[in-house]
Amino acid sequence: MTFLAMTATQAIALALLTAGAIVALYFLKLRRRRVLTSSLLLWRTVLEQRQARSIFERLRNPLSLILAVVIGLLLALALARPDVEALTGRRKRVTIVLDTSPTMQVHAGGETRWQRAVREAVDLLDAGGPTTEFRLVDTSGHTDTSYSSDRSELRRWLSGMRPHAAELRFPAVDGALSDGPDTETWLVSDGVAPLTVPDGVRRISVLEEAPNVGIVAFEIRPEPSSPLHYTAYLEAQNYGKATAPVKISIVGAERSEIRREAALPAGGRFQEVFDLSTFSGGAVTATVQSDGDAFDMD
Amino acid sequence: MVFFDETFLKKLDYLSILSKHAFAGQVRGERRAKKRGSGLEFADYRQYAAGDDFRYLDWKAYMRLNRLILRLYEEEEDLPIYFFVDASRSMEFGDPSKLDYARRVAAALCYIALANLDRINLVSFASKALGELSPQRGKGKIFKVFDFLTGIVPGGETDAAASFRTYCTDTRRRGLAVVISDFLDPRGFAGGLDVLRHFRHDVFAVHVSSREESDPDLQGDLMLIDSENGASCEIAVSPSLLAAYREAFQRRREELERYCMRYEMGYVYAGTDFPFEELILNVFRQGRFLK
Repeated sequence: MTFLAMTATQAIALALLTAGAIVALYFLKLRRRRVLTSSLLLWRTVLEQRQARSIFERLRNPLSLILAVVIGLLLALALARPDVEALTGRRKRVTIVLDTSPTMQVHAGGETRWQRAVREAVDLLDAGGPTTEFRLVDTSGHTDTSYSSDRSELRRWLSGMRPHAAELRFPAVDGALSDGPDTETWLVSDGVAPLTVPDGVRRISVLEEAPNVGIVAFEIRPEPSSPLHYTAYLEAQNYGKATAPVKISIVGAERSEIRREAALPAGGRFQEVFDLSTFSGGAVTATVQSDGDAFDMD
Repeated sequence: MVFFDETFLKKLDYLSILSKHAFAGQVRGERRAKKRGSGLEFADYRQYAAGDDFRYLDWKAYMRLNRLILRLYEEEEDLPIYFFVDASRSMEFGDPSKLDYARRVAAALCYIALANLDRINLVSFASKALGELSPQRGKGKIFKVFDFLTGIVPGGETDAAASFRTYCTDTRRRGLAVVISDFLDPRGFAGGLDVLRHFRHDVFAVHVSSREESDPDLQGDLMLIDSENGASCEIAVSPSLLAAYREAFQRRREELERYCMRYEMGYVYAGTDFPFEELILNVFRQGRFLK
């Protein structure tokens, strides 16, 4: 048995102190009301008869002391927060890595991948024993908590986490991987982001198939024959299972715009080189719009 | 202290103390004595012997039988009555206190005895005989009795056997011994009564008890202190404990009564909440102590 709130020596000292204090109080208990009586002759006779008759009466005084000591020791032990594997479960340290890449915002099945990831993380928290400690980390480097068994605190952290468009990196969890069977690391991800995941990390996938038409290539370059003349190459692909009507637009400065509409079959690609000679310069943005698209960021 | 009023006193005039046995008195009284003497009641005849009083010769018998025959009469003497009043600390308890009740009982009985020309001895006792009123005779001495009873100060532990042994060894003539006590003697109630019995007194026990003893009104966790020796005892009062106590009290009272009956001693239970006049005028008469 280990103690979470103090060392074993401290816990034993506390128990001894408590037991000693209770025994002392038992013998120094508040004085009873003193009543002067003519004679104790009859009272003694009655008490002796009752004590001789009843086992409970004979044991009552030592029993009440024992009960008081046991109750006191239980309270003292509760303060020491004993960790008994048979009662409280095995003590573990679990690291939950949440993928915060932008693709986690994809809507699928009535919720985003992120919402599902959070739900999975909450399930992991709930599945842990009372002595299991959790650490929450994300792949964008915004969140990295210390190990804690305080579930409400961990839930607060979870509710504050969001997907970020930042450089993605699997966090350092080497210690959590090498501690042995009492440590676990879980990665909750849609598996889209190119992360280097160490061996031993367990994965929970939140990837669900979703209709999406996305830009897979977009490049602007000058024409070799005329360096001041620019063209844009745009390639979009329908990843859904049905033909998707798409609207493609390339927008430049001063409201210059090129629009295209096409119906992309399942797995079909749209490829076109656009002449940007009418554009007067500045930033150029390409967008693809499709009804029921799961990933709005395209 | 007022012991009783005049009306009650008049009622006492009609009573007298009964004794199972005839005892030798000191002076002429109203009790039939064992010895033959100069009373009025004819008892027997016997042959004249030298030295007999001529006045008691039966001359008519002499004329008929030509023999000197003496007429014998019953001697009437006073009855020595010893009143032992318990003055131990435990007698202070009760409302009225047991001692006050015992004083009144003793005063009434003394008055009855004095009115019948009996010779009374009053003794207060605890662990020993504390005080003694020298033998008194005649109604006029009742005020000495009152003074003595009023002057009794309770104190000490009860040891009736030691008290009676000392007193009876120093004294005295055999007589009627009336013990007025709560009989809360740590050595047991029998010891004291046995001493009196062994000195061949005619014993009568008046068992005084207060309601606080027979039916205590206690509750909670208490430390009971013995008034006589200061000993203490921790108790947790519960209805079952109180019931057991009342049962023990009743059992002890019955034991005392049975003990008195077995050795032909009189016994009267006198609870302090019992009307005093009824005790004297009815209970004592039913107990064949007064007539």
